[in-house]
Amino acid sequence: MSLLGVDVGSGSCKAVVFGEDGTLEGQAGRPYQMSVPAPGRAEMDAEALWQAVVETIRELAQVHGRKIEALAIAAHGETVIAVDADGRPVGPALMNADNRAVEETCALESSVGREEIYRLTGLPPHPMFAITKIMWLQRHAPALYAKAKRFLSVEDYVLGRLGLPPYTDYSLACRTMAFDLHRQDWSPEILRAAGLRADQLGLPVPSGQKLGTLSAATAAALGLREGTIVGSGGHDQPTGALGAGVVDPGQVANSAGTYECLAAVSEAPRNTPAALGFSLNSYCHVVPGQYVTLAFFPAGLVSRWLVEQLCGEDRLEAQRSDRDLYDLLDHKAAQDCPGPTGLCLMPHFVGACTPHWDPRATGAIVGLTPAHTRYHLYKAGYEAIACELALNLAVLADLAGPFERVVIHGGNARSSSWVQLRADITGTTMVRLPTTEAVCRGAAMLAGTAAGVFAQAREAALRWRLSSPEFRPEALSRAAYAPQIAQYQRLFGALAETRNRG
Amino acid sequence: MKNSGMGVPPMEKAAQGQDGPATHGQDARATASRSYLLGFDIGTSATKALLIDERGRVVAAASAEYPGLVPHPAWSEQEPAHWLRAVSRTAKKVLAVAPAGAVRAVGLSGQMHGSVLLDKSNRVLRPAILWNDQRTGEECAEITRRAGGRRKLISLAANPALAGFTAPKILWVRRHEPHVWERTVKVLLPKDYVRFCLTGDFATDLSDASGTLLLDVRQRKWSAKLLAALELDKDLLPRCYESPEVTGVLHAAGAKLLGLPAGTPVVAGGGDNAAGAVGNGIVRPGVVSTSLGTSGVVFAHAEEMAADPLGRVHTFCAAVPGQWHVMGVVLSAGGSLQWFRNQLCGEEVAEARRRGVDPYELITALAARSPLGSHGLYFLPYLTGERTPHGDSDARACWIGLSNMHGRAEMARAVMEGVTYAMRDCLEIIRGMGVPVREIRATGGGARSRFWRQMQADVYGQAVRTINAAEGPAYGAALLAGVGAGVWGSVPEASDAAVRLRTATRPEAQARRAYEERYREYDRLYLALKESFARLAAVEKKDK
Repeated sequence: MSLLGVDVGSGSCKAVVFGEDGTLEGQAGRPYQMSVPAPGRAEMDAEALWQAVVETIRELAQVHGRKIEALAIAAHGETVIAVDADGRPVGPALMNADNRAVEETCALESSVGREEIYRLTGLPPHPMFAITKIMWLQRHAPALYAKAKRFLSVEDYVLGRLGLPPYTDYSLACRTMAFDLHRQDWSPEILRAAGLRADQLGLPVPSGQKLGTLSAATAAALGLREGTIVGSGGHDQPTGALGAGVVDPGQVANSAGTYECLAAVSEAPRNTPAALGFSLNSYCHVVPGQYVTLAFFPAGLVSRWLVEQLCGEDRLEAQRSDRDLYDLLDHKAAQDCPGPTGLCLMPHFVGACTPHWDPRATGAIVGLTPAHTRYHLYKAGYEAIACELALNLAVLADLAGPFERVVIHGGNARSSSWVQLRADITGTTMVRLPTTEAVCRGAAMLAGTAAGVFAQAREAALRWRLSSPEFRPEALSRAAYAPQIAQYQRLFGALAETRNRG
Repeated sequence: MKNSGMGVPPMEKAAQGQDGPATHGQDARATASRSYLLGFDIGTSATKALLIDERGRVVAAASAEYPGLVPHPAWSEQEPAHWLRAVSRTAKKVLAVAPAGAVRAVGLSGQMHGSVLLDKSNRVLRPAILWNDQRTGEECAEITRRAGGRRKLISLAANPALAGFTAPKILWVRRHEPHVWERTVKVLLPKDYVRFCLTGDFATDLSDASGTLLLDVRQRKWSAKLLAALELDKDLLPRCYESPEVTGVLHAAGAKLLGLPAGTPVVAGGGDNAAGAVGNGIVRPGVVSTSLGTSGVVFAHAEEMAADPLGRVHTFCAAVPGQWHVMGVVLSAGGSLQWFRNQLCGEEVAEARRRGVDPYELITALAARSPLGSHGLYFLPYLTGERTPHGDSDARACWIGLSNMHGRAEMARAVMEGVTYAMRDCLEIIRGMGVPVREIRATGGGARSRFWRQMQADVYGQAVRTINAAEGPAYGAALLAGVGAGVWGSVPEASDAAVRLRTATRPEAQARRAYEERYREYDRLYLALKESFARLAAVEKKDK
């Protein structure tokens, strides 16, 4: 018996088959392209998204199809897809990066109140959240709006295409900013203010529930068995936290990718006015009864920018010598610059997220001398990520409760030296998950829970526990970096002042 | 102060009829009746000799390099004996390749601020401490205190105490090397030590003397008040002359050293910047040069004495008798772009090598792809600290305003814009002192780029002109020798013989307005970051 976890991200769909003991048996993936029809807009062909899911599953099913007992869908949040009575899309998916609904966000904020929205949903009002995009469609695309029976998140949409009712799990429902996380149902106050009925949205259910089974027709189209159990999945961040074994208070999951996401677990929502001040997101975990507090900031995209813009010569060298570019850069950085770079890089190349929350913030590289090389700049990018991490961890510890270790996973956690740097700068022990597929793991755990393989999600995390290397802060390096965080924070303040004055 | 180009240091070379100022082709028929003027620039890395004719045409040039000494980090010294050898070698080279004729006079210029200490037998007591030596922080504070504070010092010497100046070096030797100090009877500037070896006279010129911090720059004589405050004897110092005045004639040994007849007159000459200005024609009120070399220098001639009470720019006596010049320095001008080239432009450098072109051409083309203002990206060019206007050695370079939409094109353009804004900072102070800025002449490596010249015109809000390729301070020294020998009636007249204006680049109204706004923002950024620079520097110092 095997379990299938599917992760429908904003740039690609991935799926992994796990054995009942958690061994990875097979994986597949398909990328897709977002389109930007105008500045601030981000759309995707919802049909193409579904096709990518089908192709990914079919590829895995060719080998593993017969033994897959259950599946669950983890999905990126905030994206909304308008569908007809048959669950077919009536327009493009409006993606999470789409910021067109600025006016609608303001309207909702003024009718419900910023503090009240945060108290109800755990989210600070922002045009990324689905409810504001639905309001935009209502106002600006009345024909499409009239054709739409429901406005779904990605999981609900995929479940609908799988022939099930459009269920949405609590954690993903939360990302619409229309879900009352205390009552665990759609918020009448917000729906009223948005001019929407609950039956125009998905059907909320807890994560890890058995939702139904695949019909013969659907199963055949995917190459799976008829009767394959479909469980409710979750929002990718808390699902990844489950996959990383972060299920109890006192634990923090750190997914390191284009953006860096921190999910701290607590037994109650932490959407206090203080947390609103830092724009932390507080919502349902995929582990029933638990909540996550989310902090996030751009990270990997800054490293990638530094490499793409500044390291062209090294790219050529890597090609010539058939080496991995990042290995080469890591090696040169270690040679040129064993200690602190003496630079302060501000990584807010797309604005600053938590804990600063300043969309006007920009990046900076401060402190250059003739002795600095591009490898110093490359390393300064990782120092900056670690500094942002330190600031966010401090806020999380304060507002979501203390923790001892951070479990890190994802593509940007690949290099041991940069994970060690995180430990040194934050003063926190980092545990690196020996897999980059935490989200699919989490989804598979939820599928197993739905199928009764595990009594509950927490048991899945325990049984599938991975042995992971620890990176403890090194006293010497930590001392060398001690002034850096304070310097970093002051510099952010100084630069913010120049923006506000202008 | 180093008047340096952006390229590599010059190799030893001798050339006949080099393409230089006012070289209108080689006149092969001019023979025995010709007479010449010989100019020297005793620089930091090399001495250059230049032979010109009476119409200002370059006849021959030669240079010889020598090493520097770095006994400790941030110290910089040199053996004066190297200068004499280089002067002798280069003199003989240019005289050997020149058609026969008489040398009517010799002019000297050189690196400023350096100190040569002599005992009573005129022997050199220790290596000369050079302009770029940074050991004298404490002595600068002492001088400021003894003079009665920074403002009082500036009112006496027209300049604040900077580590590179001569007076702090003298005090350093007095405190740290008493055994040397007790035998010291004379302190000379580099070119004036060469003069002493040529003519036996202890003499200097007022432009070079201005950089000692012991000169009353307004009254054009040694400051009795400062000498008294620092407890220094006036007899330690040479006699002051105006730049074109003859200070003496070659004695037998000097004549032998140069390969010229004894009795040949030697004029006072000038510090490298003052002498360079003569060669570039910055000798009349209203004429200003903006030189973009490794460092950037904004240099204005002034008929009236004007000093910045805050000491943000230097005011020195000019090589024109009875007049002055004002000078602001951007420490890393071309140096910033050079760093950018070395660290971040490997692809352009390789491409330039393949195509056999100057890498800066490709980097400029890259910068030109970005729109004016670099999409909101700024570069503060303080790679090696900041001199004018903030005088902040802790300042560091930075890019501010980076976003995903920026690439290397914007970074390159931001570097050029930042350097140009820094030059404008110097210009603004000079304008604010009431020194007229009627004509700007772009010189140095940065003036070769049409793109950068246009940027300069737009940022300065004034037309920028180029002149025929300048030969630098040695050329100015030769012109001064000509004035001393009566070839020309005055220093400006000598300059006129030499300088030809070439291109004029006028500001474009729209670009000018756009830069004006960005320049204001640039100026605010330093103030916002000042404290951060100090803290970063403190961390750096602790690490060492």
